[in-house]
Amino acid sequence: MKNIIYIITWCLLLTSISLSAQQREPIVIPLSNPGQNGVLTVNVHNGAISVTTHDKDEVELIINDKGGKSRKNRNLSSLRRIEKQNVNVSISEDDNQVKITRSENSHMDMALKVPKNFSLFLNTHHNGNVYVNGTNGQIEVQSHHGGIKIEDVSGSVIANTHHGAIIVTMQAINSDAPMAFTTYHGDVDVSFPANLSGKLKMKSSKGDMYTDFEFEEMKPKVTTTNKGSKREIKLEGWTYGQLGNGGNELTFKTYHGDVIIRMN
Amino acid sequence: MNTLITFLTILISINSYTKEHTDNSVLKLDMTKYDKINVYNFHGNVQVNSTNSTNALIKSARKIEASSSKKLQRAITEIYLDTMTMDDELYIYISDPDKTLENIWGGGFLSYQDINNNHNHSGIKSADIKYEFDLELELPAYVDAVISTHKGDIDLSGIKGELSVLNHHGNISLDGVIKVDQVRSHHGELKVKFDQQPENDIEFSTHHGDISVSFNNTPSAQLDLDSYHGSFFTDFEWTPSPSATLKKNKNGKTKYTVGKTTNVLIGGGKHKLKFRSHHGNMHILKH
Repeated sequence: MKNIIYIITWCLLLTSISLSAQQREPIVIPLSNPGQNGVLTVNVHNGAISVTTHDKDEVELIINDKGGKSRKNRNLSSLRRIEKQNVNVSISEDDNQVKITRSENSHMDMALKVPKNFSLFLNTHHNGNVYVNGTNGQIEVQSHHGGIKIEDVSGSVIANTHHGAIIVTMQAINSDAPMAFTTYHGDVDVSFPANLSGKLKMKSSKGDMYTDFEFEEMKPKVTTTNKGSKREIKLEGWTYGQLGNGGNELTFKTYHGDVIIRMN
Repeated sequence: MNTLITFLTILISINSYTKEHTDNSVLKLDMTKYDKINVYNFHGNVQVNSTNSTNALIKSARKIEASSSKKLQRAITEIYLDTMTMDDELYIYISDPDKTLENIWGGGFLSYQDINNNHNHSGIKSADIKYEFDLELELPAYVDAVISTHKGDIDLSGIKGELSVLNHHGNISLDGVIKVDQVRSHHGELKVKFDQQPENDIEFSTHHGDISVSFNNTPSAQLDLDSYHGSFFTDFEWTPSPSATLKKNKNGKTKYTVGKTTNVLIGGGKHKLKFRSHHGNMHILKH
């Protein structure tokens, strides 16, 4: 049932972004060093972000202004209100590093296409569903009111939100980088290649944890604090384990959801 | 407490402008000799009406306040309405020994600057002198003009020539105009009533006030609107126009700015009408 809800949610997100393509011409940002790796940084306050890949040496941006508070206001007397476009997006490109920022509070979604070898740093807050597909590099996603779905990527992922699920499918991982998948209201559902190696750190306060990886469970950390004649012993709620030869830490955390770690 | 009140009262009375002088003057100038008139008032209102005559009539009501008779007499001789001619254009301005009229902001307009050199300035400001000129102008209807004041309202009616109207503190009202290049304030409202459709690009800008522009028929205009706190309203049918992406290259870095303003088309979308405010609403109306 949950999977059906996820599928419907993501279909709606993708549909809304593809509809925007009919409304506004794409903005094309050529890269300084075609064929080389790049970095995309997106900072918005209100809106979804979708990043997919293409075979061109450029970044393509389609913006979909969803309107802000002015849309709630009525016309004044008999006058027609002219809706504020409120796009106000700043973009810079320097040495294959593309930065996109928007300080307006009104809702605007962004759909981007990047070359495959791009690292992504994506930050949103409201209406902040984030979707990434097919990149190879470092991915860091920060949202608050939105789910995060990352599909068929290689490299490393750090994903954090508050009101939403995190669904990640990784084709290959960069074993040199730690990874973290954390939310509060939602499941954390991550699929890794079978040769995954790392130190697991997992916690779900109200949910359950599932995996089909064989891992060696480690003892939970116990901290002891002496306060005068009193001794306080704290047993952490984290579950620790080691996969393969160990390595960097892989953190999975939710409060109202399950942690699911799958093998591809 | 009583001592404090007495002290403050004495302090206020010392700083008050106790001496006042008012007078009126009239200038009559043959405008056939000039290509354009540039009026730069400083403190005071400017009212402009059109006349069928080829002469310009400039009525000035001067008011000077000073803290002593000696200072007042000095101000009466040193601060006055003056004229000059430059490049076949007539300039009407305030002569003040502490100020210069300079084009420091570009854009072809002059503004008063304080002379900061302590050794040279005559100290009108430090001598507790305040002045104000209310100007009433009758200008030939088809004259080109720049009408400006720093602190005061501007009311203009019936001038059909090319106009730029500027102030900083005060409202601006233009009625029955045809060709306007720029209307600019900072603390005031702008109201402009056109007699016919604009045939050029126009900029309306203020910071704290509303902007209201009206036409007798649907203009062919691209509206380029920007107000941080305000909203935009119109009587006319409008269609959204995608805002341009501005591109700049500097030291190998490329910057793009997308959709900083709201762009819509009314009529055929021929001329760009740029509206800028920060706190104000904008109205594009039919009268």
